[in-house]
Amino acid sequence: MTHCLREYVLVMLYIGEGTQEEHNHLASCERCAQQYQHLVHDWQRIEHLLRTPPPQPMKIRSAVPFPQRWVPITAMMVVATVLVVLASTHWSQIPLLEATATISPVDAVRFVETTVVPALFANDALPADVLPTPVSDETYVQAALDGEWPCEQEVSPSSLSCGVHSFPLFIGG
Amino acid sequence: MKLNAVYEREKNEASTDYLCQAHYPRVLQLCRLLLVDPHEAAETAQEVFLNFLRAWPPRTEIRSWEAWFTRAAVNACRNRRRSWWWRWWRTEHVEFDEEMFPTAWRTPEENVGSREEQERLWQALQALPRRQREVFALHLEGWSHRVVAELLDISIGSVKRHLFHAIRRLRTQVGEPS
Repeated sequence: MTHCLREYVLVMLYIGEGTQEEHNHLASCERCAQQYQHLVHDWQRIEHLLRTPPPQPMKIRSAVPFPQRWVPITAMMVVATVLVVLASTHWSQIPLLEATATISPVDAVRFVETTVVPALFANDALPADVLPTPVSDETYVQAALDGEWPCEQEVSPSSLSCGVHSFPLFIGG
Repeated sequence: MKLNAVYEREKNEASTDYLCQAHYPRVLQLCRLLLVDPHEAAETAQEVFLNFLRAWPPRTEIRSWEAWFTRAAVNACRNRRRSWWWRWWRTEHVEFDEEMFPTAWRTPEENVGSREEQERLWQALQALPRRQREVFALHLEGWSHRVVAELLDISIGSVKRHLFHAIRRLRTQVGEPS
């Protein structure tokens, strides 16, 4: 072995690992021996310092001073309090809805009949071709007599009277 | 029958007392190395022994109480460090008091130098990754690589690698600051 030992190998030698060849090199190489002695010295120093019981007065100091550690918590509490106060103030300002007028049942029914129902069932806005064409009973009676069905030949429901409305009679009256 | 029960209880109490007295200093030192803060370490060590007393008598045979306590201490320290408030509340900075290492054969300058050196070293230990710190602490306790690997559930090669990286980082804090 001609090259000097790496630090990892020196550490391994110190903890009792390493090959015989590395041990031989350590014994013969002055530079490696010097580095090894340095390692041993540092290691023993570290062990000594860390084996010494940590002194009781040792403090763990926060990166920020103690009062500042409460800043986030205090800020959150202040914000929460302000929100609660604002919300309660806002809700208290909304006047309660009061029933200011009464309506008789007759008027209510009349309102429904004259306003609500026409509005719900108004079909004036629809184009005429969208509305299903009423089919008279005669067509179906005749078809039944002939053993046919008016929409039987329709492969695709392109006709409104056949495809969309299965029972157009009920729609058109 | 009753006497037997009393005898058995006394024997158990004697065993737990003996185990506590025998292992507490070692567990405390390990917790100090893993947590750095002596107060946290003392609390964690007490927690380990409380858990031990709660689990007494053991359901299975414990081959090595030393290894059992070591594993329990490592796990307790991990749990302690894992808790979010611990990380938030504690920091990496360790401060030593002036009267920390007064010795009769050292000059005040030497005392200050030693104190600073130890402060740097504890900070470096605290800053190590968890695995490196655990491996180094267990190595310091004198456990073999094989046992350390078993205790930490890692390979022997990983133990050596972590130990090497740990000692390399700690060495930078020994001696005069460059």
